[in-house]
Amino acid sequence: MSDLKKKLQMGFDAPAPIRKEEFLEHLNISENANKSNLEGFLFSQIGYISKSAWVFSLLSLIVAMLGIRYSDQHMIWIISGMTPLLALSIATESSRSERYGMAELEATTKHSLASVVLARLFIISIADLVAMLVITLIGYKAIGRTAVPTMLYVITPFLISVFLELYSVRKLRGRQSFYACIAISFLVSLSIYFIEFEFKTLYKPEFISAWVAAAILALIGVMVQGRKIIKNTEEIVVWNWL
Amino acid sequence: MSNFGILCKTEFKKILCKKAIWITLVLGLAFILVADMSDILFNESYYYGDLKVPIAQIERMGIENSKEVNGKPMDEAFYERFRLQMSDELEAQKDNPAVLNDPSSLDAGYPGFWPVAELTGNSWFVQNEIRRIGASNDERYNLLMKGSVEEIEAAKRNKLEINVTYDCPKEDEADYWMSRYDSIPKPYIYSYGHGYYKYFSSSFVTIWLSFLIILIGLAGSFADENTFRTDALILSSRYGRKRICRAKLLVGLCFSVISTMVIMIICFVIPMLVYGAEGWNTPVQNALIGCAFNMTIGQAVILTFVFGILVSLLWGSTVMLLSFGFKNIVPVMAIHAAALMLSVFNLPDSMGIISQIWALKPAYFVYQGMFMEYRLFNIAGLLINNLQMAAVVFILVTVISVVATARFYRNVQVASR
Amino acid sequence: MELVIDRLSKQYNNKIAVDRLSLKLKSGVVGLLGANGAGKTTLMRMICGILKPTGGTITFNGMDVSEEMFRDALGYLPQDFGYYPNFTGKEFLLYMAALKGIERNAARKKCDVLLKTVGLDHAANKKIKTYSGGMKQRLGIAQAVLNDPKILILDEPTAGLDPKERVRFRNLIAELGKDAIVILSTHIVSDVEHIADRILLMKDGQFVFDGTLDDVGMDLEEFYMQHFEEDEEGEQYE
Repeated sequence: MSDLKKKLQMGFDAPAPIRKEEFLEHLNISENANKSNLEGFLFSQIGYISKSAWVFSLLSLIVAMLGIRYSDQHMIWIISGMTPLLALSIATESSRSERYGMAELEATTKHSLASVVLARLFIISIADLVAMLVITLIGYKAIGRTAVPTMLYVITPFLISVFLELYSVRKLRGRQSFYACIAISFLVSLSIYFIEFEFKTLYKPEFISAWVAAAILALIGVMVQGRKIIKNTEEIVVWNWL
Repeated sequence: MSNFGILCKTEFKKILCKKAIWITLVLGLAFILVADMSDILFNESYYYGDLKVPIAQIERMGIENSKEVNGKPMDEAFYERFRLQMSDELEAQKDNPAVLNDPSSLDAGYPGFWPVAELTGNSWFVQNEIRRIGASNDERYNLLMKGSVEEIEAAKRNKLEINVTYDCPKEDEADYWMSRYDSIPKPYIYSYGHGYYKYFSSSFVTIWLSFLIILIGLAGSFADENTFRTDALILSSRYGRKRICRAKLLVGLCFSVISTMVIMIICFVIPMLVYGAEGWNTPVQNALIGCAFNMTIGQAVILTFVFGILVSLLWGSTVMLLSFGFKNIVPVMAIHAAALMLSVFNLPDSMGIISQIWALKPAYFVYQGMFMEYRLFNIAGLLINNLQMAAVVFILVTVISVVATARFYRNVQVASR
Repeated sequence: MELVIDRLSKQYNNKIAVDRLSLKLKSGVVGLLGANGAGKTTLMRMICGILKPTGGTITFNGMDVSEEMFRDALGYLPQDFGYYPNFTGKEFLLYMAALKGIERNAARKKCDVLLKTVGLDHAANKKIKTYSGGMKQRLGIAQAVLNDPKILILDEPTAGLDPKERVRFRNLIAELGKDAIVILSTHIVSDVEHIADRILLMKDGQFVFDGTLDDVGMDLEEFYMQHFEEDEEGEQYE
């Protein structure tokens, strides 16, 4: 505090507060308004998702689009192989509270750990889905396919990565799960590159049913693992709008 | 054990106790095993009418057939033997329409050419020859079945010259490669190089796995001290500046090299066990089609291991430098992951020197592509190929990274977190 | 044996954390008291040589604190120190012994003795991640005295210790203070009362009191509260 401020404080007495309790009661928000609504809570969580997660997802999107721009239509595997990286942000965000030792604190708050984790996963999933939609819409003409198979080629590796990464987040603790997620994303990408490089059959029209089956199975896996992660936070979350 | 030895041992322990390394290693090696045996495991059997031939059997026949000719010169007698085998088998299959009407043989102009090549154990030889002979479709098969050794060799040289000239429009650059190719003793010594081909072509999987292991192992080498809040303790101890830094760098580089070598050795041994290891001292062109170097397969394999060491040192040193700089594993992993993913792309040749410098990306090496990069660097009139330039650049960057890390670590401070 | 701090300063952008401090310390226990943000930890880090001062010097027996031989005589327990979760208590101590330049066999014996002294011999081979907060703190104390330091810096050393352990710790520090310079920074005034030969009160990067318990002339806690009362009053109106 500056010298002048100190001297002013010494020279003058502040008046005593009048009708303090009345004023504070007037400020109290009504009971309904006190309960922050779900949408508000979701929006508030956007700011708490780490910047690096957004940056990484954005970079993955840019690299995928570069791949579309500079590769010929036979190189759909490049786009397909990039989407596991998008999955990284989902897995790392779900384990962030535990990695930074915030889990115990967040588990005891009004919007508990389970709500926080679910909200963040939901937000990132939406963002990643938007990214994959962009890739699909830009990419399907470039690679000479229709939108639906392209969407499948883009989303299936993503779902497989998310499923495996959520599983590893459940099983491994702390930084180990982070390392495992990186490894899983790379190995899924590598598998796609290798299979296409070696066999050149992965993206043939006759294999579309395999892609559909893989996508469905991976989606079920993601939902099961997601549910188990939420359960693990020892809280039953009741979503009002379900 | 001296104090330095104990520090090194502890640093190794910190790296090796990460479960993710072992899980990645096991999964990666399983993947490599499957990749190296993919031909046998996943390719369908060939059906020629009632005749079903599993791919494993075809590979076995190839190995058996080549045993008689491994190490022999590819002279007139060699080609005569091949042509006799083909014509005998064609005669045997003349009543088998599935063989004669095989669609892949339509281009050949020789009905049943490819199935007969497979049935006689000559499929690898034929693939190799056809890809090397740079003539039109019909002409390639005619040359193979009827041409003289000189005509076949001239066609191969012609194909190489076209590829080289496309990448190196300047005469002196094209001469650089053609003179090397011309210095290979003729006639070529043959070997069944399928195993080595599998090693060279699937080693990009090797390098990705090696990269992952190095990244997981070393991303926290300096960053963890900040994350685990042990930096104050270490820096305030006697050997907490210079000696511990040297221990971390030494251990990090050793870990990088050892892990890469282990992975590369396993990736080398698997195809050797499956496809055989004959041909170590035969020209590399038996395994690497389009390579203009005058070297043996063995020398090329050794070169891949040398580059494996250089690449692993480069990655290890840069990961440690970023780990020190960022004090957080996330940006270290993100930057290196992005770099590796970007290395999947090639820049178009029209981008000139930028494209050429991009071709020095580490993931490009330890892979067959490194032997077929024809563009040269012209440094004060001296022509330097990709391998030479990469070796210099990798060593330079490694040294700079190590020196920078050691230099800056001496002055690191612990301010508020 | 003398630690000389001469016009030491540390400035971060607009904030002066340590403001031209000068001090001479000989063997004995020095209690460093001050409010949060007074500059105690900054001062201690500069003494340990892990933070560069903006101005001034710190020397120990004529040696600058940036030298390796100074660190040979130094023992430091930071306020927020960490550990490697997968290391056992003994492995951690052996690692710190190697860092402090203690020969291997001597280190083994020393570690066994110290683990017994701090009451961790039963948990020596258990991973640190299984330790309670007090056990981790005791391990930290053990590593700080591994090399029989001539200068021992302790930042909040008794945080997390139960009363019995705190008494044991005080006795240990008092014993060490006979042959070494011990600087003990703490919020627990009773720790300083019991063992400090000299008391330093720090405020806004400067020493506002430097003397013995006798010089205080009253209950130390009251004395401390008096010195920081002004700040409290000022903060009410901010």
